[in-house]
Amino acid sequence: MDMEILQDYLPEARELLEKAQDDTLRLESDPGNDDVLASVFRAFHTLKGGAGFLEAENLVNWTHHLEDLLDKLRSHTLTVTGPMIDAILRGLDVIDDMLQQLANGEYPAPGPEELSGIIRQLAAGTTPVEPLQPTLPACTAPEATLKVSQRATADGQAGLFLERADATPSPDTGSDEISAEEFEATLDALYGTQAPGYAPPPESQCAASDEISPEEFEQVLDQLYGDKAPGFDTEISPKGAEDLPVTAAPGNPPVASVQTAPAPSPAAPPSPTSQPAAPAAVRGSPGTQETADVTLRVDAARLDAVMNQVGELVLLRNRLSSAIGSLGEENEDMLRIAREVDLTVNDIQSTVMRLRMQPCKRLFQQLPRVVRDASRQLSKEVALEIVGEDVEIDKAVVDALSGPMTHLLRNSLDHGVESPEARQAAGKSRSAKIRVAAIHLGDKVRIDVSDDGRGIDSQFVIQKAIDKGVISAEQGARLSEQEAVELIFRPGFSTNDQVTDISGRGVGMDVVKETVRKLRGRLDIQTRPGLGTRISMEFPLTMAVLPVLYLRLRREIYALPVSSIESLLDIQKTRIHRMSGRTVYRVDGTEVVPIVDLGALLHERSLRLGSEPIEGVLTERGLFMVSEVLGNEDSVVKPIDFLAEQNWYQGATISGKGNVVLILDANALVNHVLDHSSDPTTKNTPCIGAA
Amino acid sequence: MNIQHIMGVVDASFAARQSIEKALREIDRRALNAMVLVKRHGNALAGYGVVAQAFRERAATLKDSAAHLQESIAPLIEAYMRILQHQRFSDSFEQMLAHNADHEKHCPGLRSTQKKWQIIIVEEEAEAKAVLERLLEMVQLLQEGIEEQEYVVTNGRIEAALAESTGAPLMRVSREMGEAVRTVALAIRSYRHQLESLEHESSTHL
Repeated sequence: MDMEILQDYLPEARELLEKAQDDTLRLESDPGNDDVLASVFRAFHTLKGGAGFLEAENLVNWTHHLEDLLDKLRSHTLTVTGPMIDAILRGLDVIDDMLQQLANGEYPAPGPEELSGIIRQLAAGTTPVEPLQPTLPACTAPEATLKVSQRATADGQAGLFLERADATPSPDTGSDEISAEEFEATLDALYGTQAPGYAPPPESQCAASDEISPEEFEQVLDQLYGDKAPGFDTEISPKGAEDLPVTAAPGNPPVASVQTAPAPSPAAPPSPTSQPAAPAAVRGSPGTQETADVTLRVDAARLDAVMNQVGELVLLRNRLSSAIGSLGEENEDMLRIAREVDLTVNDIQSTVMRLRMQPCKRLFQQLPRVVRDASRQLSKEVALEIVGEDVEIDKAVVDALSGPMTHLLRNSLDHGVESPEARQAAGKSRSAKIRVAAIHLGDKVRIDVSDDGRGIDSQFVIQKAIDKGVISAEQGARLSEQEAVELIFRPGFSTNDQVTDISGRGVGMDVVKETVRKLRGRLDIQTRPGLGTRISMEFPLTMAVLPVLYLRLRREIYALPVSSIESLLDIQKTRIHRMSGRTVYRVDGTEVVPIVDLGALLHERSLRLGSEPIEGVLTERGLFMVSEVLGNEDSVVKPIDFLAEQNWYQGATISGKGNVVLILDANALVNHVLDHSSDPTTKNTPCIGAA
Repeated sequence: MNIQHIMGVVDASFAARQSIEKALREIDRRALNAMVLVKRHGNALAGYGVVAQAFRERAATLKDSAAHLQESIAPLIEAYMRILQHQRFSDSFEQMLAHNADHEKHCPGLRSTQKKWQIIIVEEEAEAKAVLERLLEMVQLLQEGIEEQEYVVTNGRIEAALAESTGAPLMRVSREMGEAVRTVALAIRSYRHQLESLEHESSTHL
């Protein structure tokens, strides 16, 4: 296998696959859309061509079957039906597996014979023996197919003939009435190597690879004969196919009119400005040449290397600024140079950061399929709305969030969305709405997954958590509404007593939380019983650089990510209270947060308010007591993988003064305080000394 | 000039120092708050970031100046205490001379010593005046720093107005910055009044 070709082929193939899936789902609701049909066809054709170069014979064969089916649909020989959509989607899954095998350096195994047979039967216009989706009506088989053949015309010239033929496909020939060889032979007989559009075949003999697309075939015929081609019949066009009933299966309803199976609405089409950041141009697609000229596919590892080097540059910049700042005598030149270096490094950092940005479209592309499959399985009606596909986020987030997004949607469908009957009884529309949105917020991107389902009953969640041993009854009694709802993110928690394909194993939501944590993000859940649930995930725009706030705890310096900080406060002891066994701080009339005494946690010695300097750092979930806040800096996180999996640090960084500084994990610290607040031996209680 | 007056200045100096330190810490915290806010909003608030950075840098300079101010207080108090002490010596000699005169006694050595003390006191008063003037110059510098800080706050308000569409509470942050600066300004003004009254009393030799 040629690894260089493989390196080029795989990413492009995956993009094509994603697009084909997206288009296939669009086709389900808009079966007559010729543009979408052509797009799916082109995707299979291009996949097949590339696979031919790699000599991946089974992939070539598989895509050939699908291409054949799409060709018939594109030419309106057949019309789109529900089983066809199912078969195409399943076929795409098989291609995905095959691509994975290629990525592992193996030649793909043959696709499943049963599905292959179904696709071939569908392409031949016959009804598969076992319909793929019993909920959808099976398509009616056409009576005949078209057959193209070459023979002498009446005046002795060689000619191509289009004939009606009974639909009795054989496994070998039934899917393609004119093979590549036949076509080549026809052209050779007519013109030899002078045929318009002639290209010498590749050295490798890919019999199954069809190097000439149907467009090219049409073009050849047009150039040869125009509308005088032997066998040319204007009525072959679908608009006037009265004499050629093979063009479609009459009475076969389009999927859009099928109401028996709940199907999701297609994703909202991207706005005109929401073009993704120039993926590779699809071969043979007119108008993409210009794009191909200005885009360059770069190995992600190289990009990561550049990013790491920029990180080092940022650290050096910090050290330079710090060194110049500590010079006893002010030197205008040095200050100016430091400022210019600062600006230039910022520019480089911002440019390289943008290189890693990818549109959320990549993340959302799989979701319509997930919703479609799960809603069918659960017999629920759901409309999926996708917003903000053009919002860009770090590649690491896009890559890591694919699984969690699927979990969230499946959970929403399984637990949140009610059955159509239950919705009607509750005075809601039969069809539920799931909304996935990406929103750009300053240096963060928020991804929301919301539904208008039944919401989460906090008491039910507490009871389930106690039943499953996730928390004790005593802990459950002390939880606030919000804390109770957040139990769904605990490992091992599930409200389902029975394990199903969709959910019930108690894994998934904790994975979501863990993934968000690893991506330095923030997870939030808002629910209203009977009205719905919204899960929000906030991620930093870039993973490369982390702005931190340095703080001093007695003699030691720590860092806290700026993204988790709300404000810095002067702690007043009159605002410190004890509530439900916890020490809390009253920030204002409405906000009361738990106090995290870093002295008690990290030094095992509480900070003494009034006896030593203490400042407060208010985060989203608690107030951190520290000795002094020093200042902020852009830092680069260095992993500290020698510590236990569960610790209070996100990593380490090197400060401008060249010291290694631990970066605190605010959420982990607050969670620890909340979990241990009932413990009478806890030391997280600030001492109030004499003022 | 009496001991009560000097103690009044010492108290005022202590109160001013505490007030200035607290207000400067508050300014620093406000500046850091602004910088955190800016960082959390990314490039959208880059303009305000420059203002916040300038605000913090000036706050650090003010803190430095305030520390120097404190360094000059001690010599001033010391000088005035010495003047008071020597004034008392001089007064004692004066009383002795008066007592001798009452008994028609003449003691030229005593008068000579008393005159020496008077000269010393005049010299010390000149020295104290110089220290006081230096201190007033420092206060003047501090006040100029505060004015610059007020200018930065005004710039911050303009930037906040320009960045209003981002939804960041910059106007509130700017207002709080302004309040912190005003607190320092008031503390310094009050301190200056104290020093000026001392200067006035010193010059009139009350």
